Amino acid sequence: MKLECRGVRRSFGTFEALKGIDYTAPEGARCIAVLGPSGGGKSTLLRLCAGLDVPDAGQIAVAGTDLPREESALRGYRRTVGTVFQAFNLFPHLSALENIVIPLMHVHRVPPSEAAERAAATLARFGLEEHAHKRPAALSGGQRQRVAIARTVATHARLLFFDEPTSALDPVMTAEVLALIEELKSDGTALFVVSHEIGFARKVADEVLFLSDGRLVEHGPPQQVIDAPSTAECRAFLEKVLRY
Amino acid sequence: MNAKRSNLWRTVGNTTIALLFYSGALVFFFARIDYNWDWRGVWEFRTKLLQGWVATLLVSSGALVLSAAIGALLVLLQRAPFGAVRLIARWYVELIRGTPLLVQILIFFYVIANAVGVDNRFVAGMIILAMFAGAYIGEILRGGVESVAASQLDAARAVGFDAGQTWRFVILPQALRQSLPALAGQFVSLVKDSSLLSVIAIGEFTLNVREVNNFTSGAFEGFLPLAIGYLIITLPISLWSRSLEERFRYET
Repeated sequence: MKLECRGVRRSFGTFEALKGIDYTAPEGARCIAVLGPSGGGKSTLLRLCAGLDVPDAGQIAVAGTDLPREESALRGYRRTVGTVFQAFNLFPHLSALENIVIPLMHVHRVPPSEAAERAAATLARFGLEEHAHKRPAALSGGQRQRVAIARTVATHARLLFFDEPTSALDPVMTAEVLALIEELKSDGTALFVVSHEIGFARKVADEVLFLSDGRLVEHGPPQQVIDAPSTAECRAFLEKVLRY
Repeated sequence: MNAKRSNLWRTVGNTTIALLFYSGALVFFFARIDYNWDWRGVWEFRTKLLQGWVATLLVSSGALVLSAAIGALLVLLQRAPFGAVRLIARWYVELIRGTPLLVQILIFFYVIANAVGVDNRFVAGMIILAMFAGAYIGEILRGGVESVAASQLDAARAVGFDAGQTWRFVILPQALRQSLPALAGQFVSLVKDSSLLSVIAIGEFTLNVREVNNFTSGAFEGFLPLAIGYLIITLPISLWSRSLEERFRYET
């Protein structure tokens, strides 16, 4: 995935969430993991890259194209990528299947029968076929998150964003969801993952960004950033996270 | 099977007790006032009662549809890009909610309807009722729309919905589900409030019953059919809303 940030800034009121991010992903990095303390700007960066928000200054380019700032053009970009949230954000009044079918039909203009087929096949692939007609409230957290991932995968998005996808899940469900994300990577989907799962980042990511206090403190392959951090800040963070 | 049967018996038992409670109360109160019932007058003027009931049904259902449209329009106007438009909608709600319906009926009928040349009492009454209920329905719907979580709007953006699709697939279903009980209550109120239209001499149910009571010099034989007649209109609204609630039930 070609991702490039040039002087990206974003503030909310007086709070500067991103204080100027300059970054170019290396050629062939298919999975970028973003680590760092809460409030450090990870989710803000993800939302900007996913086209859910617009930077106050600077520019983001994905696959060599600058992201537009105007809403309808940005919507066009969002339709080519997928985003999975920490709180799943499924539509609670729709069944698992409908959550997938309605965007397919109305956003991606897939004919109804094909949309239903594709949604059912995606749910089956993630082991959810028996839950297709249940509403999100009847599913466990891990199942909901897998439905949310199925919703993005069914659109054939080439780039998926994950915003702390396992922070609301217990360890077993976390492992299931992370395994699924790893599987997506081996299928050739590009991934941008904000996570607190250091082990996952080390194993799956090609490139790790460490964000703290709105700045990109350190970046590089996981062997470098996680195993041999060069900044005291990153070292202190990892020590804290990995202590127990 | 056994559990099902004992459930059925429990329902029958509970219903019987509730019926006994209300019929007992009725018998008690009427026995206390020691009144000589005379139903001949009511029977004689039964077509007039029926005409009144039909008029109430028609004026209410027309106003119900119109008030829903006014309510939806108020929600949109209060989100308009122009401050003046938002203010006009806001003030409308406050004016209607802050004054009695009776006063609105008189002002609308004798001033506004006169000025714009609506001389059909029935139509004027329907419009007044709809304008009144519309203000409340607008507020109920606005509350429902604002109750849709920001994370849902985020999800709608993430899957690529445009504004129209976001309303259709995310905001409206969730807002309506949220507003349903209050909406049903407002529609029931609307039916009952239609009785106030008697002040501008619309031959609706309440007015006709009072006239019949006068003709027959019966004190209140007409009031019982009156109450039952309103219930025949309002109960289905309540039941329908209950069944919709059941159908759209989901947890967030």
